[in-house]
Amino acid sequence: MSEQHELILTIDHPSGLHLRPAALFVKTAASFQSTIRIANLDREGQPESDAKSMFGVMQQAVSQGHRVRVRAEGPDADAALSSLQQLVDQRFEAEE
Amino acid sequence: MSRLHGIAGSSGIAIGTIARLPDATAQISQPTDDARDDLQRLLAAQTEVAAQLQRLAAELRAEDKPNEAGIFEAQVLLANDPSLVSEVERLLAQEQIPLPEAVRKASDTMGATLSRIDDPYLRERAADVQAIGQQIIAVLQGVTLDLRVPEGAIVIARDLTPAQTARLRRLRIAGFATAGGTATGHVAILARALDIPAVVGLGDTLLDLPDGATAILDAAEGLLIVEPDAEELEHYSALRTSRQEDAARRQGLLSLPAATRDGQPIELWANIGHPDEVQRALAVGAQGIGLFRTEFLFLERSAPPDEAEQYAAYAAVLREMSGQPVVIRTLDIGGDKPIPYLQTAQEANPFLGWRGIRFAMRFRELFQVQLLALLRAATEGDLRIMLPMVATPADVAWVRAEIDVAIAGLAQASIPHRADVPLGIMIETPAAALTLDLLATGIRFCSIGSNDLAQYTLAADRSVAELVQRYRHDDPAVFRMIQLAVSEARRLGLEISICGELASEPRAAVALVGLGLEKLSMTPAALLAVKESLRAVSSEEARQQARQALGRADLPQRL
Repeated sequence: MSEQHELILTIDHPSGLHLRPAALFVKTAASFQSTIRIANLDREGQPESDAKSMFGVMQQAVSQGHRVRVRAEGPDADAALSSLQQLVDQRFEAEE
Repeated sequence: MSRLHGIAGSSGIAIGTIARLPDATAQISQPTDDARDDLQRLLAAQTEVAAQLQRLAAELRAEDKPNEAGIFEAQVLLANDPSLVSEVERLLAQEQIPLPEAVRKASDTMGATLSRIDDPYLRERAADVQAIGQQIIAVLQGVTLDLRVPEGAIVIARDLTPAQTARLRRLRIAGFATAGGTATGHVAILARALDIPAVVGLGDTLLDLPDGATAILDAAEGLLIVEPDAEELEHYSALRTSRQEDAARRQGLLSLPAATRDGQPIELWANIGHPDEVQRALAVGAQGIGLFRTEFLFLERSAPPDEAEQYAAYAAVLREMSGQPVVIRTLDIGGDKPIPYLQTAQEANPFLGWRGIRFAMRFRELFQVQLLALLRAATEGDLRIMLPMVATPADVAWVRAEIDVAIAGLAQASIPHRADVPLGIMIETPAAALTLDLLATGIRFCSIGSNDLAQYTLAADRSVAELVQRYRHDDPAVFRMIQLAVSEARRLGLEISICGELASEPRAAVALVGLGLEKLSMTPAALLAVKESLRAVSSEEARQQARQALGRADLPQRL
């Protein structure tokens, strides 16, 4: 069974998706089986990249206030998206 | 003897013999004794590099350096990055090249992708990606990047990885110098945090220096002297000893109040040019940031920073200062530092031209974006906005109107912000010092920019070294201008401070306090030295020094 879902998140962290927040984002994404892709909606023409890859996330150059679209496809797509949503809602503070 | 000039990576003086780290990627060969399949070998090498980085992160965390540990924790993810694996796989299939070569190509391509994105932060990360590639290659080749360099060596390298930088400290090296690198790269940041004298960006001529040659590294000056003569060696060796003694003695001042000998309190604040410098300011006990220059956000790029990027930089500093005041100066550039994405005309006299706040008037939209970011960031702490190069009441009125426009826009869109951010001006034109009463409407504070004030008072271009020596910033004319501003500010009930270089010179700082200044802001490196000199004098002695500085030693009048 495969689900596909997407979600738009606004990154409200002063360092955007750089270093520590990016690392937490990637670690969270990588803990799911689904394919997860990320795209920065506030950078025109930026193609989607792999959200389980640090390079993929850095490439989106997400600064504070940017909106990103996250798409997940696979058996645990729903759970993956809600975990990522939670991480962003808690301003990346939950895991430390 | 030869002298190489680069970029100050940290501070301190090192004297030692040159030891060169070889380039891991210089000769790539395919070892034949490993029958495993390329991808298995890649995976094993990635795992090994990730484990090395994880150990470093754990060590730094144990030493209570969580920010530095974070650098390596993020690198662990880069070492295991699936994007790297797929790019290497693609190269192996398409180009039939040896695995190490494929790793180098892949990490170079990934680095190039990041450096093309218009974000200075990501340009630095490009170097991180390439460093990870180098480390993986080293493991694949069986080369160790941790070279046994002799204790006390000055290590030279094309570039260092952050991991190498952290390991060098344990080898008790005297310092290091690299051909590449920038002042804001991870290697320079680590050198400062770990207190290793370092000069970066020396260029490729560095790599031609012979191993074993004697060298002097003056990190703060960005200088490497190779094969110095006896006199120079003696000079730097004495300088190193006295700086070490001074630094050790001044550490003892950290817990003591900043005040004159008879107990008159003086506030010592720090000037910074980048959010990374807040740590240094706090480490020397700065009570606030008296000048946060914002030029770093605008220079060396092809498009202006957006509001989000500026907000992030300002908010980061405010949070780190946890409620202590932060004075942020709006963009202060002009014709002498042209910006590629802004059309500026050639000026016959750039220092008398469209500089500072006048530049903002020309590029009003750019200024609005900065104001929006500042007003929003003000919700994060005690932010104050300071305007550069103000000369007339019309300058201040123009900015007030611009701020009102920004506030109205934010209020209408219900974006959280502060509408009551204190506004202040730099006193760097004689006009500002002479007519402070006329400029004071709508202003809550002012700060003396002594470098420009000296330049405009003495009519001496401060970019000409010989003129700077002849027409000094501690000339009586400059002190009299400052005296005027201080007494006017006091009469008007306006808060006044100084953030020019004059405040960072221990002797001059005493005279400034003698003139009635109670708040001095300076580079963090000078703060403890100034504190020491202030604690050694009484208020009366400070006033005497002020009279002398004003050129009025013969007139024992009341100040």
